[in-house]
Order: sequence, then structure tokens, then C-alpha cells
Amino acid sequence: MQDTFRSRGSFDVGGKSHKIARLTALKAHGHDVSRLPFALRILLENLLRHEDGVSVTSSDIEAVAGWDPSAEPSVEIAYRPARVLMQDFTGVPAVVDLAAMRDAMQALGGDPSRINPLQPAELVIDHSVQVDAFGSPGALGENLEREYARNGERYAFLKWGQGAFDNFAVVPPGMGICHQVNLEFLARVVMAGESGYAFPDTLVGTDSHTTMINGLGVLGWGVGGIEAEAAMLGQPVSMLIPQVVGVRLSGEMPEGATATDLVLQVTELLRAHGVVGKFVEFTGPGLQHLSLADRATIANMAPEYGATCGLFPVDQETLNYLRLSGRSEEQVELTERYMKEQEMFHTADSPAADYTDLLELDMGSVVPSLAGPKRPQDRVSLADLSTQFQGDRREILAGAGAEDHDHRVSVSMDDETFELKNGSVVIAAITSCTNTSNPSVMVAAGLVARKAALRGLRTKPWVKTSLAPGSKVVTDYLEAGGLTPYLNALGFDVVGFGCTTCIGNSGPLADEIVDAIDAGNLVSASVLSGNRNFEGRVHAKTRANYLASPPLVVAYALAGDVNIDLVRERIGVADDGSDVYLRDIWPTNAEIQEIVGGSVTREMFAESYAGVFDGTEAWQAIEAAGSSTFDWQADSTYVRLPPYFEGMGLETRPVEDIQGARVLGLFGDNLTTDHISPAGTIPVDSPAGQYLRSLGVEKQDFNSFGSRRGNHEVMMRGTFGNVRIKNRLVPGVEGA
Amino acid sequence: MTVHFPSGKQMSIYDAAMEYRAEGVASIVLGGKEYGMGSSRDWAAKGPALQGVRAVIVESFERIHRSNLIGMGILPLQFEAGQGADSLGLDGSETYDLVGLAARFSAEDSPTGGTVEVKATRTDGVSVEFKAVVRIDTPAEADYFRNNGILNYVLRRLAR
Repeated sequence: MQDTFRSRGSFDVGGKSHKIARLTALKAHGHDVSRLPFALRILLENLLRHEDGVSVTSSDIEAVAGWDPSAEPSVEIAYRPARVLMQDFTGVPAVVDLAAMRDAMQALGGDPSRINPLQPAELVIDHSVQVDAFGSPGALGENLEREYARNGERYAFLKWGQGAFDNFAVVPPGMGICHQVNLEFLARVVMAGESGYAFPDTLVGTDSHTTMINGLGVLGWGVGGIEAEAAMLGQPVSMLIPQVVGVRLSGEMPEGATATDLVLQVTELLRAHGVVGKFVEFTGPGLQHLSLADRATIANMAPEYGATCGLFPVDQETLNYLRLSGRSEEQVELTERYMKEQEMFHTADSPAADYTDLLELDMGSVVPSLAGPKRPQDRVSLADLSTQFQGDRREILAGAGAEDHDHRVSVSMDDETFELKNGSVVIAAITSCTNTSNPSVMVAAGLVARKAALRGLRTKPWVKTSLAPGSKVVTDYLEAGGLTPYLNALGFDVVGFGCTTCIGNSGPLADEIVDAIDAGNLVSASVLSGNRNFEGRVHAKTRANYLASPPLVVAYALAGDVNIDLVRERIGVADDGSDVYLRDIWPTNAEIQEIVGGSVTREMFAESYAGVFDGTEAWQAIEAAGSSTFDWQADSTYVRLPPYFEGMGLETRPVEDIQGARVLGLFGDNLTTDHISPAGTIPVDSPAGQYLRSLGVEKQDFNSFGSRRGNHEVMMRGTFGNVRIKNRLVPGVEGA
Repeated sequence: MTVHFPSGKQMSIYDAAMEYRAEGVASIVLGGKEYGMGSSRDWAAKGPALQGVRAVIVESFERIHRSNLIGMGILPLQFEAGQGADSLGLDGSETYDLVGLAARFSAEDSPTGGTVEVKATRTDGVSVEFKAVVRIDTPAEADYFRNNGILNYVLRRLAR
């Protein structure tokens, strides 16, 4: 280890001494660190603490310390995030590789139990639950049961991993969504490691919305599996010192607007500006009016605005949230002391940092909004949606080569008869960590439900309604606030604690609904509180997909139709025959805050997370051997031992020149990773499909390439297997 | 689909890869600009590695995909500026010799950058020779490459 800048020192908190790599030491070398964005101060600390003269040199450190806001990124640095966060889709193959390394270690005559993540790695199983059952009290249990039936092999493997690896923890299915669990429980903000150093918590994750944790002042973003594995194994992540765009927030959110509306506005603003490959940092007097949960909502959608991350620096609100969410007093004190010691604690008096660009956003201008029909940056105000949909519909139909139409299709279902048309809302989902981590919008949804139900309004029979919280805390505070019965009355029963509709696990629509959509070639809609709405993501049958706040999701479930102007037209008719408008059932900010203040408690977080690694009975019932190596099943079609280490010895073999090679494929420009390794459907007649069929897997059980990433036999057969790949060795032929 | 050489048979890329592997023939991939763009996907490097791809020669790489290729022991090479498969008259039916890396790696611990000599020999015996830039950019990447990938690198370190 080197210490060119003499930055290493120590400081005491609560009678404990911690080592520290002081940023302020750079002042003696002419670098004013207080002008750096907070995000870069975190990178700078990381380099200072890891200076070794090889992977991190003094000139790397000076490059960050002397950051030029306007320079095009060109300096590559070796960054060592403190921990790794995974979800089950992308995490399974990473754990498969670790398990394979254990086998290889044994083959090399070593002790397999020495293979462990060197940095803390946490995996939350959230991506597999589907909404099969909904709108009933039994939906949660039923969906969980099916989830286990579909994913038994993968879960048994992960449960083995949970026991076998040090530094590795698994949050079992049914407990929450990885980013919300990270926010509410896993994130340390300031860590005190075995090295004796205290340092800022940082992470990479195998999911793109890992960025949510930047709301808590923790630098983090999503990376690919190999990079995550490398980070887990203590290898640095290579990155360019980025540009940092500042967003200066001013004003206060007006009555009726939510954090969801704000993030849609931020997304629109930043997409228009262009922040791809850049960091974003939020600053300005508006920060003091923004709750931690609101910040997390904004940080979540960084992939949608295109940034690597969107950081909110640690301040008093961060500390308040750490206390509320049940973090220990010792942890909160360490965080406060460390951040202040490093001049990384933001206050209203903090000197303004330099930014590549500084954008302004007056939060007072935020209005209730949605975004769609297929891009998160296409915001439309609630007042304009019914008009905009007319254009969206024509465009979608024209894009599919169809004439515009006004078809009505009559449907009889469950003793009711109704008509479906373009714009009928067939999915209304309160989903996604983006919003379910935010008590104010969840309570707002509950209040809309209460006011609607008390007037006798009901959701439309063609709407598939669902509520999928990102942690158990949500159901606890909705219950404590007395809102659960009303959400249930409108069909927003809890369907699962996981990603569900947000990642397209919407489950099937009723056959009658699908038949009607097909018969009329209808442009049906979904309204969801998720973060993405690319074509085909939410559901194959919903061609217009609008992102919106949870209370608006409830509103559109009541209306059942995006053609209705919810600002000017009635949303329904009360029991007494009177017209009800959205404004009649929309809660005031004071009403929301009263319930949030009274219902969201520190005890709830403590209780919810006390047994988070134990899981439900179904998880506890999975038998997992306590062996140090995994007992690979020869007949598994999901989890197989990959051959990366076959025949490997302790010594490297000399690097050889490549002689007599043949060209497997000759490709043009812009070949994407999706061309090289598709994630979606496994075509029946493809090599991967033939392989699965040869093992007796029926077509309907193929699942996706994404879900079979733990089986290299499937994945290597799918490589260069995209149905649209163009290989110039076979001109005019598309596909694998 | 692709064409297997020298048989000239059309078959899936996977099947051709397996044929080459069975014959003990190395395979490479040629591409254009921004090769490997899109979301970072580890299987886009793992899959080719398991198919037996030893090197990828392109006009430019997406940053993370290039590092993932090295992470799986595949050599990322770049045509010299202004060159590409078209300008060099390459149609993919050639036999390729890539020379220079063995000498670099036996002379230096962690060689970065530099070029290799590529000779593409057509079926009529005529060959095209060009230089390709070695996109092993950092010493750490050279160590990963020498070890045939990052996982093997870490494993060997832990096994000692």
C-alpha cells in the first residue's frame, strides 16, 4: 500500500478508533476537494484507500482530485466497490460460477471452502414471482406456491449457497425487492470493515436499478455478471472518470403532485439534456423538502434518464431515515461522524460544487403525470392523457400496419357483460421498488381506495388489479393506517413481495379478455407504478403502457379507460347516484402525511427485517446439503456445472499464437450483446430448443434464456442465436 | 446461420463452432464498429468462449464488452484506423494466423497494447496481411488474459 498524499489517519466514534483515508489531505497538494461533486469525493476516497502504485497510482488520484468538469472522460480508474447486490435472474449464474470454482479448487488439491466472495455479496430472490392469482385474499399464498413449483431447482441451489459461502447472504422469495431491501436494511452508508478502515458504502449490482441506493447517499449502479463476479472476488471495476451533471432543485411539491410525478419530470428533463454515461447529482435548496423515500424514487430511475447514477449526498434527512428504518444508533453515529470528518456531509451551507452542467428544476412546477405509451421519458400530464392517447393509438396501429378503428368487443365474464375498446385498461398494477419503497405514494393509493370504496365505487371487471410491495414493511403500515380493507375491496390484494408486473411477470390475462383484444385488434392499456414500459415488457397484449404513481394506478383501475379525462370527467357514480370526480377522492398532502407520520415506525422495520434471511416455511422446507461443494444434478436443466476450469492446472500455460483459425461469423456495425446472447424466448427449432426437447422439456416449459443462465449448455447453444442476427457469411439470411 | 469451412456447408453457428472444436480448429469472429453495444451481458462473452472463439477482430468495441471478453479469455483485437473487413477485402472464408502475442507474453509479465500480425489466406492461396491492435489495455487485463480469464486468475491466486 502507498500513501503519496499522507491521507491515512484515524478518528474516534463512540470510544472506537477507525482508520480513515482523509480527503482533506489533498488540500496540501493544491486540490480543493470541496469543489468536487459528492459522488466524485466517494470515488476519490476509494482510490486513496487503495493506492498501491499498480492498479491505483498517485496520478489516478490526482486525476480525480483535479477533475475538470468539462473534460471528455479519458482517464480509466480501478474502482473497488465495497459490496455486491444481486437478484435471482442475474445472480444465479454468478453463484454457479462460484460453486464451479469450489469444484475446481478441490480438483487442484486445495480447500474448496476457501472460495468465497471476498466482498459482502447479497442476493434477493425477487424476479421469479408471477401474478397468476389476484384480487383475492389467497392470491399471495397461491402465487408463492406456484413460484416454488417453477423454480425449485434454482432455489435449492441458492439455499445451498446461502449455507456454503461466507460473505454471502440470500434473502429468500416472498420477502421483498432487492433495491427496497437494500434501501431499508442492507445498505450501511458508512462501513467499518475488517481492514480497520471506516469508509463510504459503495456497491455494484447485477440489476440496472441498483441506482436506487444513491437516494441514500450510497454510490451504486448496475453492471454485468462478469464485472459483478470480479468485484465479489476483490477485483477492481475499471471505469472512466465521468462527467457529473448537477440538478439544482428548488421550490416545494404542490398539492396533489407526488414523487412519481417528480421523477417522470426529472426523466423528461435529463433525457432531453443527455446524461448517458454521466453521473447526475442533486443539489440545491429543494433537497430539504425532499424526503428520503422521494429521493430513492428519483435515484431509482437513473437508467431511464440514462445516467450511470443520480446521487443525493448524505445529510440530516439520511440520518433520520437510517433511524426510522431501524439501523443501530452506533451505525447512525458512525455515518454522521465519518461524513462530517470527510466534508462529505451536505448542509444548506455546503459550498456549491462544480458540475459539468447545472440544470434547474422548480419542484413547484410538477403536475400529476404519466409516461408512455412505450418510453419512460415520454411524460404526459394527467390532464392531457385522454387526448394524447388518441394519437398514441393511431401510431401504434399504424406501426403494426393496421387501419385506425373504433372497434367495440362485447365480453361476458363472471356473470358480467361489458365492452372492451381501444384504451381499455386491462392491467392496473401497484408494483416496483421505484414506488413501493415510498410510504407517501403507497398511503396516497390507500387513501384513494378508501375514499372511492366509501362512496361505493368499484374497479372495472376487465382490470387485472395487483399490489406487490417491495417489503413487508409496506403491508404493515398500510394495515396500521387502516387502509388495507379498502385496497382489498378494490381488488388490490397483495399478490406477492417481488418485482411482478414491473419486469413483465404480469401473469396471464383472462382468456375472454385476450380473445376480445385479438378479435378487435384493440390497443389495450396498462397503468403501472413501474419504471419501464418498453414494447412487450409489461404484457404481450397491452400495447400502450403508462407509468404512473400508485394513487393514479388505483384511479385508472376505477375508470378502466384511458380515454376518460380524469381531470374534467367523472371517474364513477357513487352509491347515492351522484357523480364522483378524481378530485373528490384525491387525498391532501396533509392527510397523507398524517397517516405516514402515525403508521410508519421504527419498530415495523425492526420486526420485518428480524427474520428476513429465514424466509417463509416453503424456503425453510427446502433441503440443502451442508456440503462445501454443490451436488450437481445430472438431470437439471437449470443449474449445471460450467466447464470453465476443466483441465486447469496451478500454473498458466504459455500464451500461444492463434494459427489456422476460421471465421465463425462476420458481422456488420452495431452488433449488440442481445444479438450475441439473446435473453428472451428459446425458439423450438434452435440448437437450444432441440437440446431442451432432447431432455424431455416441453415447449411450454422452455422458459427464457434469461431464466436458464445457470445452464451453460442452453446458453452456449443460444450464443449468436438472435433471430435477427445478420452474418455476412450467409448473405440474406436472418437468424441463427 | 453460418458457413463451415472448408466444407462449405451451411449450419447454425453453434453447430459450426462444435465442428471446429472437434477438428481442433480455432475460431474467431469479425465485426464492425461498436461491437458488443447494448446492456452488459456476461453471457455475450461466456457463450463465445464456450463455443471456442479465441479472438474477436472489430473496428471498435463497446467498453464493457471488451473487458468482459478478456474476462473470459478471449482476445479483443481492433483493425487499424480506417481499416475493416471490407477495406481489406476479407469475406470470412479465409484461414487466419495471428502472430506476435506468444512472443510478447513470454518476454513480458503483463504486456499491454501493441499489435499482432494477421495473415488471412484465401482458398486460392493468396493472402492478405495486416496489423491488428491488441486491446489488452491494462496490466490487470494482461494477467486475466494470461490466465484464460478472470475466474481462473482468481482461482489460481486463491489456490496457492
